[in-house]
Amino acid sequence: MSTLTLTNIAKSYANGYQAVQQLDLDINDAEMVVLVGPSGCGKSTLLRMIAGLEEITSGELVIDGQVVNHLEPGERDIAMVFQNYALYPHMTVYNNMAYGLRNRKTPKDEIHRLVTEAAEMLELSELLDRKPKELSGGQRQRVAMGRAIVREPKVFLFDEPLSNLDAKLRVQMRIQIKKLQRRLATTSIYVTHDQVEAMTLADKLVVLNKGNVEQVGTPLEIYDNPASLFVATFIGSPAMNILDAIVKPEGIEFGTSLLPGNTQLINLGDVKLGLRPEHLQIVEHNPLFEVEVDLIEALGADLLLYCNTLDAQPQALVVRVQGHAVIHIGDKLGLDINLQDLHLFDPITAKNLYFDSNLLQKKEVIYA
Amino acid sequence: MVERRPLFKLFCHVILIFGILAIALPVWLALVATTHENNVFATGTPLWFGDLGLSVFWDLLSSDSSFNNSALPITHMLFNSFVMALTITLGKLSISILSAYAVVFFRFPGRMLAFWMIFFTLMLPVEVRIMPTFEVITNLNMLNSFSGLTIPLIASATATFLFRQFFLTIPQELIEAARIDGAGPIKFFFDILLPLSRTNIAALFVITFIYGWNQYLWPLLITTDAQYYTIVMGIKQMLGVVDGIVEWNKIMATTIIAMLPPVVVVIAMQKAFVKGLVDTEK
Repeated sequence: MSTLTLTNIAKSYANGYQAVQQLDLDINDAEMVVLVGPSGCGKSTLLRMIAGLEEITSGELVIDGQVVNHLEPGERDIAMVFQNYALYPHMTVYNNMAYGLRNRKTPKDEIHRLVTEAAEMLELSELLDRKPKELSGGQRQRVAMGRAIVREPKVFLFDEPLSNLDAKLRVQMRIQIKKLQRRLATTSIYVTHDQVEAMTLADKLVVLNKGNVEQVGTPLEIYDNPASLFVATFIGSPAMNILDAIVKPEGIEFGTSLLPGNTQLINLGDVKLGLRPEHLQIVEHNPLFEVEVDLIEALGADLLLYCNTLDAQPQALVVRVQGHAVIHIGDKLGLDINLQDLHLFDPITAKNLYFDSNLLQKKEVIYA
Repeated sequence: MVERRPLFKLFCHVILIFGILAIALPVWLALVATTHENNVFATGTPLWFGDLGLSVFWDLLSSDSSFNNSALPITHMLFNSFVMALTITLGKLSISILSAYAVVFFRFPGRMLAFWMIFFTLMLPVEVRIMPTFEVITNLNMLNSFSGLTIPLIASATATFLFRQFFLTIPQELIEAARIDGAGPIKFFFDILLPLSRTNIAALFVITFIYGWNQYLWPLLITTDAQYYTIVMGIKQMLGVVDGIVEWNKIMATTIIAMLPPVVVVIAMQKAFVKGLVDTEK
């Protein structure tokens, strides 16, 4: 039905600030694309440019083969769900949903059919005569969704739609949005800073940083192979541990530990070592390195151990273990990791070196 | 504020009661005066009702101009006042809401300059600019006309400023949602902005209606033709009898009549008025 193509899209403000820089992105039909990044990364600006609420400084935005750079938001055939819902306070739920259709001169009985259908889908049928202030947060959110759905637009745009809801409702709505999007098969762009939302909703995940695309891919691709230090630490919770290490001819050395192997393919010198908290295992014998537990966070299902390596220069890292493990503050633990789960990053460019972990072997290390 | 000291409470009540008395007493005296024969006033001001009842009111409203010593019957003066007050009110509201709309929601060169120029006129009320304004109105041949009576009073920085402050509180996202829903500037104004401003409009209606109704100096200057006398001017005229007796009971009755329309407006719009001043419905 509808595809989007962004070519060389850039946004700069009068004061010279570059919010989005030379960005290319292809969005396929019926795809759910999630733009994720920290605040100020340009994700909202990008969404608003697609919506037509923000002018595109340069580049080309194509929806369904048509360049829409200079079209008004109302003419782009898009619908948007805002963070604070932006419902018209003086209109009933019904009128809130019907307003956009009326402006498009949709026949009355058609409006009625579309609104009642959408209301049923979102369980709003009972509330059609209420005003927004008589609704709860979750209900308002659903009305905002309904307002987007009734229009049957080419593209749905979501601007952090769940961040005003409480945690439980957020999870429910997340699932509902996912189901709805599947069912309607409408191309969608979703902006969030919440990486759990991003991972669960996305068909295609776009990680943005400082107005640049850091990486595009499926959530799992990005989780498994983060292209840069930024992506590695941004996706995944708790964040990936990054340790300083040194590449030597005979292997990779961090602290007092050495991973021997063939390191000829990468430059010698400093390197950043990435270890996900969930990939680290506590082992009784033959550990890769040792840590001391500094702080414990019990999450129920999991236990997060904040540890320091037992080196001359201790480095902090987090280990995730199962919730009922018997571990106390001050315990010394031996840790190990599967070599395939290990990432190496260039300390200067911050890019993933995609080093072939098969070249490393584990050596028996015996600690005193 | 939660105060639990009975003495302080008593003190507050005493102050308030004095305040109410100070305001209510003249009204009371006026009301009492309407029920007495005119010769009573020679000996002093009565404090309790006489035996005329409402007959003075009735005579005033039903008789012609000869009865009240002025050039125009009371009813005609009331009509003039109504036309003037309503024109000023509606003119003020529509012009100020439109200029506030332009200043808040559109980006055009000189926007802030325009706003500050409007704001600056706050410092030039009618009384200050009365001579130049009179000159302009004379040159435009608008003496002795309703347009001359009302137009110079319509421009209002206060109302523009109030609407601007209200418009600034409307979330940006609401405007964006309307744009995505395909509403242009005019549709947005009528479908969303105007309904949202309802309570503010009501509050301003009350304030400007009273302002327009109570105008005295400007009508006095601009009208020489008795056809355009307003009720507030009429009262003054009734005092100015040559060689005659000032008919206090009629004057007081006219005063009471002149007070009523603003009171009615306040009562009718009270709910919306209070809401407009204290409540934000968003």
